[in-house]
Amino acid sequence: MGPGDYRMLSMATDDREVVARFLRGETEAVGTVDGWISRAAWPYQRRLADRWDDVLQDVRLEVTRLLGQGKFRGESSLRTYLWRVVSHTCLDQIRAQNKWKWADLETLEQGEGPAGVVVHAPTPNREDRDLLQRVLRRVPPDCREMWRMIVAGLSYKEMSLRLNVAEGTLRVRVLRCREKAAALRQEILRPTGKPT
Amino acid sequence: MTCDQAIEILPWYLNGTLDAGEREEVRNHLATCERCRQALADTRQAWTVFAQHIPTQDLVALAWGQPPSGIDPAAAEEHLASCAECAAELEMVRMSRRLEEDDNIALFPAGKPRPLAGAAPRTWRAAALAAGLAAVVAMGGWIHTARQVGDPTTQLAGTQTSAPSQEMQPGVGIDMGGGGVVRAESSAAAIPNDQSRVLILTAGTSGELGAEILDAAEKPVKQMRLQPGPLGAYYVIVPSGMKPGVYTIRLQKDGALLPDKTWTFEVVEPSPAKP
Repeated sequence: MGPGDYRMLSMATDDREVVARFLRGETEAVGTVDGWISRAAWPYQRRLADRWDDVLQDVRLEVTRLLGQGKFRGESSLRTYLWRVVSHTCLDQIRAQNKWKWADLETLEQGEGPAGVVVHAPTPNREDRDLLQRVLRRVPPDCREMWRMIVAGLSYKEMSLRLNVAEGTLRVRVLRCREKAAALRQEILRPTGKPT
Repeated sequence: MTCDQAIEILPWYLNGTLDAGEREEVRNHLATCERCRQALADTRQAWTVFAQHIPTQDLVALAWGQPPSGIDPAAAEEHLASCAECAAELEMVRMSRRLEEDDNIALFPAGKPRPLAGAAPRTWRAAALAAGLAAVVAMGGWIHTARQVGDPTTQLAGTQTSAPSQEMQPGVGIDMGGGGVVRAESSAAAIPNDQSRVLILTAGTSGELGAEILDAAEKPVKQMRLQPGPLGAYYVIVPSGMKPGVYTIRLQKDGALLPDKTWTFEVVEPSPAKP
């Protein structure tokens, strides 16, 4: 393959050709795709920190899988398609890092503690998400701030220092926020009530 | 432990940050108290509310200028205004899109590709390095201070080139050994100096840094102060017209050189115009 062919490849004038060459393992096509992946993934590098190499590898495997299964149908350019795959994968990985650990009631009955089992909250559907967002919008901003710290994994001691509030006061405020959110949820769900 | 005491610390029981003694006390209390078990269920429900974020596919759609499909657009807008986490993630996606669209943004250093697992071509690493980093090294002109760069979004929008967009250069071999040194191996590589570039340096640190540019004889030709931009990187503009030769960028913090933060690049005359 000469320089002219290489340049044509890099410009991705024929995405399907690039895919075919990539799946055949041709050096230039593999390099082209990986160059695009590396650029698109770069902004996520800092947040992924020492997991960066592993995530990049996950992206490559996912791209190889998708292209191998013919998932790329040319509805956008190949490069844009790869950008979407990269962004989805990296964002999911960043959010997975922040997943909390909590115990479900069954494991509590069996004597398992929060550190002993990881249970991810179920992903809400569109309807549930809209309800949760409506509740979230109506709770006071300081409640959102405190609870997001909890979700992010801060201890009440850390939060007390960060917010410059006594630990006892903080715990009561958080409890009131929880009660406020529950009341708002009931208010929105009440059949006779007018949703806002 | 009383019910009130247990109920107040349930959020931290769920996020796993109670110390071992508190956790054990709460667990023992829950095992015998129906009221507190209900409070735990209520706390989990509240958690579900406060853990709400914009779905990742909708962040990608928003970065693409499309309406979200998994959340009400107005709710997404309002959420972004109050959620620093989602706003930061959207900024990352937008930056990624900008990199995808504009090859005139160079990255130093790029990620280090690794061999693909399974039936990977043996040339994966070499090819990936060549392809990934050929797009990285493209220099020309003088380097301005980061203070002049300001917001990279603004700067990137203003970056102009007088030549066609960067293409992978045939024959360019890039070595990325020695702690991040990027070097064009072949002087025959046609890296034109008639284009401007924005360099994004990943320094692995924060705060104000000193930067020093050295020529091939290690004579300092420019010193500057750099401020970190969004995403924690440092941004440097390289306009066109730089004298051909080999240059080195070194970063310093508090007067001491940062180890492994040296980037060497070669600038050559632009290729003759093709017929």
